[in-house]
Amino acid sequence: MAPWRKDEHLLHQIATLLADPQHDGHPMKTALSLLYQRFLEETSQIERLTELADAYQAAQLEASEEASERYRRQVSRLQKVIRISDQYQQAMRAENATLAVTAACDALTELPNRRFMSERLAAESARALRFDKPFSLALVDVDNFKGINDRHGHGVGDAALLQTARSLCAALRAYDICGRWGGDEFLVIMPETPGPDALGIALRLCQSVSSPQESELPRSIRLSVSVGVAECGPHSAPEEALAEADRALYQAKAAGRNQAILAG
Amino acid sequence: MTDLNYEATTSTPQVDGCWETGVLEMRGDSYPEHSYRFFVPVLDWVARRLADGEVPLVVELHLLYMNTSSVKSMMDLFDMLEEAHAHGHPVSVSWYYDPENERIAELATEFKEDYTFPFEVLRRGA
Repeated sequence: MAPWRKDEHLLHQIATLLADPQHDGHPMKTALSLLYQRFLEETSQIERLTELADAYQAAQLEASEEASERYRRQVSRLQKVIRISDQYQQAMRAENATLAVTAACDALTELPNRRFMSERLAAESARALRFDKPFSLALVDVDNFKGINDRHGHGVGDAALLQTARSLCAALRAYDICGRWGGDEFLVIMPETPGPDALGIALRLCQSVSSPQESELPRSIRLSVSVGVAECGPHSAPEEALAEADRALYQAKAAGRNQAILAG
Repeated sequence: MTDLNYEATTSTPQVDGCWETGVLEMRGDSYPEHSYRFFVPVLDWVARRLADGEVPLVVELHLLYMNTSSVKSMMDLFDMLEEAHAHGHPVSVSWYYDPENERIAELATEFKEDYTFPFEVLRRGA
């Protein structure tokens, strides 16, 4: 497209000016440089250069009365563009951060959601491979959850999940990660933890959930969880460890619930 | 002459310019990759509208996020309005913001500070 050629030439001239250390510290150079960087970040094809063209010409002007007045106007205008767009970017970043938290969070328990946990699992697996150390994961399932829901309604079911989430988090180490995996199931990732150690943590989880505590739940409800634990070796696929943990969880349920079993 | 009508896209605002009434409305986000292509027709339309008769030019903005080149283009637009105002042409800007997004009000106020033509920052629904 022919009209942009002139701008490309100008762009080259501006790049040359910016590269020249002779003008370092010059307010116009500073403003021009910031704006130039912005355009590089924002546009795949730099086409909006009329402002840069004016600024560049102003920078090139001889120091006459008229020129310096025009030059001052240009500098303050460029600074204003940069100042306002900085604020826009900050506002946008703040909003994105909120969105990112919302997107990664389970609305009921406020724990990380399945999507976030899947990403963590992949990251932990990559780390295990890099440092050649295993990690462990635990699938935690609320015992008789369907019964609680059916007998007492979804409101009480939600409260039971919330209380379980709190009890799990209270029993974990600072660097373990617990998220809601789906329905009444939670996933715990235990970095750099071999299976037998992870089983110890899982037993603590069972105890934490079933121990008497202040509760909004009807007295007839005694919460407990069953846990399936699996170690994921540095060269194993996390999906495989998840499947093993799921089988171990099934065994824990079959063996009478409120217990943890290590796979393999 | 002609009206200006652009549908909104993910990176460009909806733009409606009514030739007869002189009302230019923009709403949405503005961070086009090709800012020049997007804004030049808008600025051209404004220039033509200002040059043709005494119809007041009324700009109504419901803009949210803007990238640097959009900020610059809006300043180009306001510069045109300022010049028209200096020549006695009636112009005005009303920038509406959502009460949940006070930052937009701060930014609109920052835009406003160098201009002498009527420029209002208004809370939507107030």
